[in-house]
Amino acid sequence: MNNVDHPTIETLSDYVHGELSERDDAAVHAHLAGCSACAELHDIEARLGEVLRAHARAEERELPLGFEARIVDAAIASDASSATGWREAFAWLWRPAIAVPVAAALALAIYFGAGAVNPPLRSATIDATSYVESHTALAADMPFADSSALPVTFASEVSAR
Amino acid sequence: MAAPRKPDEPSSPQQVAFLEAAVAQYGKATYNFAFRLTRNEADARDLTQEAFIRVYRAWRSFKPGTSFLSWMYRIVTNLHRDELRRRKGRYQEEIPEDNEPQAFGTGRPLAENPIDDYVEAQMSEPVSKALAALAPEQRQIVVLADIEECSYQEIAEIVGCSIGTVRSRLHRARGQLRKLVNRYMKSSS
Repeated sequence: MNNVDHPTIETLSDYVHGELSERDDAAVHAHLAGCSACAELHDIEARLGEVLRAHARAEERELPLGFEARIVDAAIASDASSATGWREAFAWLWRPAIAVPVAAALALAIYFGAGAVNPPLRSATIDATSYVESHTALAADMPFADSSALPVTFASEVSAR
Repeated sequence: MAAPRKPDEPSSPQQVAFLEAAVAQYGKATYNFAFRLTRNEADARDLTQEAFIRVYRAWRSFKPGTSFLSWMYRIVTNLHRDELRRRKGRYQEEIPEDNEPQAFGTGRPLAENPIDDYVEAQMSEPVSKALAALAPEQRQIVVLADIEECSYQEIAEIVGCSIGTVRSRLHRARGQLRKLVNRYMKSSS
């Protein structure tokens, strides 16, 4: 930065707040030494900070009397109330007028809900033909002989003949 | 990091001692910071108390070796922002207890150096009015940068934004502040 390349007001503000890099800080420092216009702007920026700090010191307040103890009491009390708060918030649920119907509804929901999730098994079916054939085999004199006659005749066999 | 205390765990003596030490050491700084943000003693008291309640509940999350005051400022700033949103940017004007107008500067300590003398004599009211007239977000940045003398990095962490945002907000706020101070100085002379 040279004397022609004037720093912006933002750069001067950053300089006042010590937020420029070492290189830029040195460049602004050197520029201010030789540029009265920028030095004046810098003084205004620096002065604003001084005025604000002086004003803050002047209006600084002491803690109100007993305030420290009140803070500690309030913190401990708020902690205790937050610990029991959730129990108190849901205490109404345990009244019989509410708890009994809720429990009944819950039981019904579980019963029917379980039915929907696990549908009942299909009723067992017996293949009639297989049943008759195995019964016939047991009733025959020689159950597994090829010549053993079936004691019953199916309608389909009659029509086939 | 230690696990946060469960809500139904009783307060431990260490926790209470931590709070008492924090209030004794940082209570005044926190209260003054809260006052600078709110420009109102009642709001500053509420903000300070709520901030220490948060500290008490989250005491285990404080990391030794880090700046306790930065942590406090972050809590106060967040609470202040929440409160502003809740009230839609308007804080109550405090009504004096005796319901009478109070003279500006009563009960304050005397200035200790020539600049303070000059400011008290010439600029106190214009500066106070100008700070009060700034937008709350701009006031936050000015208070942190110029009064608390925090770095841009610290401000970014406290406010929860980027350093670039801090820089641009600060420049706008200082520009606005210069105009307001000049205006109130002219109107008071």
